Amino acid sequence: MPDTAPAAVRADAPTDGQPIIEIEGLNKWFGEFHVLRDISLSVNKGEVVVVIGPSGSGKSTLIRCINHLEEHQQGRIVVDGTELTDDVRNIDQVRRETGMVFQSFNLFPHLTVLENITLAPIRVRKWKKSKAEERARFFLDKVGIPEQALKFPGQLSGGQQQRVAIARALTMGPKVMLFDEPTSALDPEVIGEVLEVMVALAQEGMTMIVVTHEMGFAREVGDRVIFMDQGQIVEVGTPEHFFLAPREERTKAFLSKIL
Amino acid sequence: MALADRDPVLRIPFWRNVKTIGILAQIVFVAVIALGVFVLVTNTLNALGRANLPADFSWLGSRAGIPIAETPIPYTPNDPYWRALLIGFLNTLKIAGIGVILASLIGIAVGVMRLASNWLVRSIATVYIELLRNIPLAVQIVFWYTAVLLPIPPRINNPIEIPGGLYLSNVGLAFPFLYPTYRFGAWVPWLVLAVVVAVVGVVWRRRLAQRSERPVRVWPLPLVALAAIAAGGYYVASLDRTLPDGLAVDFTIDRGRGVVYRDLDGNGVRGPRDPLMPFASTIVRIAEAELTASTQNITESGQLVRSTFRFPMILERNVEAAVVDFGDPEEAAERGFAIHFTRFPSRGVVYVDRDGDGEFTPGEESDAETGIGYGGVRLVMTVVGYERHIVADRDGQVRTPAFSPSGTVRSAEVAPALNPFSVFGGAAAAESRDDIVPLEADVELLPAGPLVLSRVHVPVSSYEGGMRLTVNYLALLLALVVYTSAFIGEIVRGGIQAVAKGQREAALALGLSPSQTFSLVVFPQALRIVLPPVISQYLNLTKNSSLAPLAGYGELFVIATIVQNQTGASVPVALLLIASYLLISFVFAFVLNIVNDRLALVER
Repeated sequence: MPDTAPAAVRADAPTDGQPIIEIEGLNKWFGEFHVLRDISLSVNKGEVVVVIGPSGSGKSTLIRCINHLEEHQQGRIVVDGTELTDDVRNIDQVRRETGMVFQSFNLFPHLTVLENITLAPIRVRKWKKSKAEERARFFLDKVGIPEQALKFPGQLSGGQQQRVAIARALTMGPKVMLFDEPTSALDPEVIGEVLEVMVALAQEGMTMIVVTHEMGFAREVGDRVIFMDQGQIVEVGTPEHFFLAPREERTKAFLSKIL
Repeated sequence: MALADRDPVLRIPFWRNVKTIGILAQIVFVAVIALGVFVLVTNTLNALGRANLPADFSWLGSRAGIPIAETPIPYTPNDPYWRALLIGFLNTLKIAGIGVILASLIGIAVGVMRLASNWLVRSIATVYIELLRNIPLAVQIVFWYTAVLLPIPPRINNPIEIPGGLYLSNVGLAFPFLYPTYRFGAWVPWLVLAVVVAVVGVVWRRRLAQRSERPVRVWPLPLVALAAIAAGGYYVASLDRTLPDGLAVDFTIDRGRGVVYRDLDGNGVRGPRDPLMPFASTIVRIAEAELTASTQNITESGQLVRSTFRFPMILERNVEAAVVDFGDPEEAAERGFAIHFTRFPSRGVVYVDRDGDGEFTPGEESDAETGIGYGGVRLVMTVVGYERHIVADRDGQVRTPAFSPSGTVRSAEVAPALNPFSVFGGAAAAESRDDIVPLEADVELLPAGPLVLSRVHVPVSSYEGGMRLTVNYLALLLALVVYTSAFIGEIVRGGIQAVAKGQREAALALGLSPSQTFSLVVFPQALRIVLPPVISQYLNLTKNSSLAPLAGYGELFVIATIVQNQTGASVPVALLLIASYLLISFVFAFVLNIVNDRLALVER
């Protein structure tokens, strides 16, 4: 193997918890490019895991593998007892149990906020429209924008759009939430309102994997921080560990740039 | 004034002032245009006057005398020019309207297929698009017409019967169709009422849904109301059993066809002012007729033969029984007279059973030399009853045999409503027009409901009833649809690819299936992108329909060309053509732009 990177670090969840995501020996290539190398990671129920790392380190690809937006070539991914295989039923099952929030919001511009949120519950969970709308309004209220229900995404600010996206994912009642750089595309003054929602969510006990550079968020609610570089997990630890005593040179170099 | 001296505006000479220059330029421009138009118009009018060609539209009311094969509304060659042109216009709409719908459906399918993950599906779509959009449309029209639709389908004598009452042959496709009758007008107010009630209902339910805490289903109630009122109205409109005044049946000479018309002037004859009843005016009941044809002057025997045939009336493809009465049965039997039905539907031939085997054998034709009916009795089992032939007399004299046909409708079986314009018909082409004597039959016109289902029947060598699409129409339609769909396919592919990748990912991440993701998220957004270029493809299709002469389809351009040849009114006809195509294009663009605006994404 031409790879010269040092051996991968395992990121196992504390043993006192109940693991809901288990990733073992995950490898992924984009063509020739080895984007994920021997990733082993598990996440307990209610845990908040923050993934950091330079761009191109594979952190987004990693969480996109968890709901099979990306296909992996080697290793096992088990989400809430369902292993991701080529079986469409398993993939659907995992996607129903994981919510995802994207960097670019990805709201459906042709639907109102309410329709954006109720689309999947009605079509996938087969809820009645009334129940879906009731749940949607509950979560809109929760993310603090109940009055925007009948507007179109194009009429909202970036921060509001991202909060709608979070409400949309939550309405499906997922067991795990995946955040893919949820604040990177936002203006600085609206980042706070999105982080607030995420913090509240974390405090309610939602299992979350968050790819972000918001170290304040990591310090406040993060249980573990994972530093990735060149497709590998380089260092794992508590937020305090990263702020006070990062071990690896690569981690230090990265943190010195973003802090 | 010091202030005015310093105000630059006041000191600019007018030829340097932007405002006055603008106005002056406009005036000069308008003057030049007006002069140009004036010169063109006076020149043209002078030239037309010198050539003694009409420059006005007064010829529109004269008799056109143009036979048109496909007429969406009643038309005969006796109708005036404006009606012939109207038929052409309607035929253009017929090809453009259906063409646009089919091209869209196929185009969307091909565009989606081009993005399929399946290699075979993707390749087929690619070949389809690259092949069809790179071959000139004119070549494709000629291909479909002369290489596919003319030679491949079976002859009209023996059409393919497709389940559901469809028939396909080299004459075209015919299928059952619902036509409005004279009573349709009585139903229209009910339809209007139904639509109004439904619209009001939807608005009311929508408001209720917004106000109510509990869920309100918007659509079911208004739709039920719509159906109920429409059905009730249909029933009420059917109750009135009176027929319109002056309804009469006229048998045309050529092709032995009957039409229903309103005898407005009451002279008992269909004149130019007596309108044809549009569409299937009523149900015509002709059931079983007894036709008596007696021949005299039978050349070979000199015997008087009277033949009486009783058979189910027209439109029965196979005549199962015929009672043939040769006047003096014994002598007829002795001489071996018999009747044989040919393979052609409902055609009979009298023959002499020379070998006595009771079957028709070649050589037993009653006139072996000419193959035509013995003593002129060759029979066609249609309402006209038989075809009369000029008999080549032995002495070389040509004369018409003295038939004295008479027919009566005796029993009352209901014949289905036929072709919207011809009540019944279907005689084979006679050798001369004068040869066919209109049948005298008692025809009973029965009241019909607002709609009548017209089924297809195939008498001799033609379709009767139903909706008929000629091969000309089909060839042009196929070429236009296939050609345009290739372009629409590319537009659709581009539109789908233009939808942000994140949209698809977000939908999948929410658990929507790939097909739900496409139909609920990707396609609605792609639609917005593709609509403007697709609208111009619709306009292209409409304008390209003027290549119809290549397939011999009688749309606006073809008929206008004939009209222009006959009247010499080249300029007025050209103006009408231009106006017609502009009208269609503007209406298309107008309607679709409204759709486009309504679909537009709401932005801040």
